[in-house]
Amino acid sequence: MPHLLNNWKMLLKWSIAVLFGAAFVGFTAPEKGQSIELTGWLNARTSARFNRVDLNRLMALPPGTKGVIQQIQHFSQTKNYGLCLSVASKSSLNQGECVWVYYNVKDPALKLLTQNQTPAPTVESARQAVTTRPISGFVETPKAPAAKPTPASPAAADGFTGPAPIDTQAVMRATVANVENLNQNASQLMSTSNCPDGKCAPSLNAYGSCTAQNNYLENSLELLKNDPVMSQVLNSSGREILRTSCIKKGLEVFPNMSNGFRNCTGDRAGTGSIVKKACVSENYTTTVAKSFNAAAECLGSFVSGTEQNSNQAALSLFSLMSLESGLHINAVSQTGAGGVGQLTYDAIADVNSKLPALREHLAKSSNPLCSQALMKVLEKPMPAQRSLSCGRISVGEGNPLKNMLYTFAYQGSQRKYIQSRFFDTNVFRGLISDQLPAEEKQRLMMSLTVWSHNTGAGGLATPLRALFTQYLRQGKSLRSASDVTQLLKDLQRTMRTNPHPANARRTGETSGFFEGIQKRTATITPEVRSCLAQ
Amino acid sequence: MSRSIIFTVLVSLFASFASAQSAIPLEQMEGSLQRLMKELSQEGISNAYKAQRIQQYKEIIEESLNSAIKDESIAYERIEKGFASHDTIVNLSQLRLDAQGRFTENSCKEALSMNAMGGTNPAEEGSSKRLTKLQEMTKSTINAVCDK
Repeated sequence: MPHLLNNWKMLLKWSIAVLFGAAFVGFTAPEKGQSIELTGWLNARTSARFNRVDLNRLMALPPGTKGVIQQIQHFSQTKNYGLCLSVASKSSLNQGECVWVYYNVKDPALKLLTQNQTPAPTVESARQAVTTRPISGFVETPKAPAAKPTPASPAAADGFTGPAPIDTQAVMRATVANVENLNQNASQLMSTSNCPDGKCAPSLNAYGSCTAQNNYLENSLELLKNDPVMSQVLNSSGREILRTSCIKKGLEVFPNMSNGFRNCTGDRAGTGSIVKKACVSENYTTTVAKSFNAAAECLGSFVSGTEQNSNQAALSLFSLMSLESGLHINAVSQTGAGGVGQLTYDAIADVNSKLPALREHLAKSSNPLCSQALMKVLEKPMPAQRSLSCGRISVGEGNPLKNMLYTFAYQGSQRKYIQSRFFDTNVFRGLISDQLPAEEKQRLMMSLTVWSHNTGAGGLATPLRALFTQYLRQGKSLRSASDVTQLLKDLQRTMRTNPHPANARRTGETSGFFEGIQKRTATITPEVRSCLAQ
Repeated sequence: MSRSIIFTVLVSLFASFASAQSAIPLEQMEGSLQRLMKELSQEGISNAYKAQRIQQYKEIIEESLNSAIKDESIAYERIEKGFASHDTIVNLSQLRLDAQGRFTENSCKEALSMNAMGGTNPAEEGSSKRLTKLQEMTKSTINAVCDK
């Protein structure tokens, strides 16, 4: 019996050896100057470090991307490679920029092309410095035992030790090019006069990787570039009101909740299917950021009531959307609310009833982006019914821009409701002191307005009246920023003690909503005002 | 025609009397407002006059609430009922006249929208409007004056 067992073990060992051997039959090592084509998504990195913890990801390269190998890094332990490619077709990469991708020989997400399949060399590739052999010293790739590989670069935890001769000039040129690119990006992002106490907006780091499970929006987003309206929005040279880096961070920090996202591809008229959170690619971030800034440009003053406060309104809307959806196009809630603004039937129906007034507002603008492009988005009303909730999230139905316009418009309605009952009335005269700075009055107004997105306008008015009455009876008035902050804290308590009847069963949710917004924005940046570009 | 003029004059006299009042007691506020809305729904009265009446009532109600808030002997529950009337008059005061003396379509929609907002729960999909009797009456009044 032990003899048979030993034979069986021997047979198993040989079988495994034969299987592995077969896997390597036909394998050829990559060569410099050789062309490749990606067969899956791969991270493009600024250096030959491929651990998940390495913050060197530039973007995710989609399948079909072609490139020419400029440098090779061989990892002796795993027998895998790091390949530095010049990717001619990627407009987002600087000319001649060499980006590193991981080549897992056992599970490759790229194929090495033969000479016949090689595309004509580009000027950039010809100019690229090449090393004469694998290099070291340029980058360190220490083992990271705790690091988990990203899905797009499986088993990417290679180490590389031991010196080897290098083409010093080539290394220097490549290093300088990479550092210059990074510096250029950083200076563009951080050039702001509004950076109080060093609490700056987050920098625009590398984009996340996409997988087969979370890249479902990419094709729809790509098609938007040829859409007559969205191409205007995406190519608009209009001012950036809210920093793209903040929007990207907002997309990233939003949790990947189960049942929290739906895909409406091929089901534009229905409710879509449940999916994971979409990958935060460059294309996705750009589409959301450009849409948000277009909505802020054209409807910021509709929300705030005045042109000079429109940026403050945009910042408030960004904070609100960060909590509601993380600005994810296809976010949905259990209650049926959908899209970046988590719009419900009532909100959509309200905006639909006011579309003529909204169009009137846009028509007055001298900016063609508002008076022409965004006007077209509002030509067709968004369906309000829950059974047609893809209308709130589908890219093919004009989202995320349409959902953003509706959210801005609905917030404008809420602001008017609050203003008419608390700020434009004689009932509470004397509560807001003349000493209260205008920006603090605006902060109070916008804080109440975003809070009402969850409580409802009436749901906010009921506890606020009780609190204002109490303040007046105690002889209090709002004179300073700290008074406003205290009032907002007191309102949280009053939401529990004096709720609107419609909110009596959800006082925990309504009272904590504003604090929730503040907590979410704190995960994006310590000082949310730094997200304003101007 | 002459009867209409006489009626308008009588209503104007009543309006003058109402506007001369410094305050309406909190308990009578809702009833008084309901009478105003019946008056607004009647035919034969100019829209300009209706707009004037709404503004007068708004001032009266706000003055009454202001006094009640200052009077600490009045319990908040009583004042809260007055706020429902204030909501109604604020909603009606959204109505704006155009050059032809008609209430504008946008202002009518604004007034209806604000009226609906007071009783809904926007965070809950498909929640019923849950309008109060006063809100229902306001809705009818806005529709009545805007249809003409």
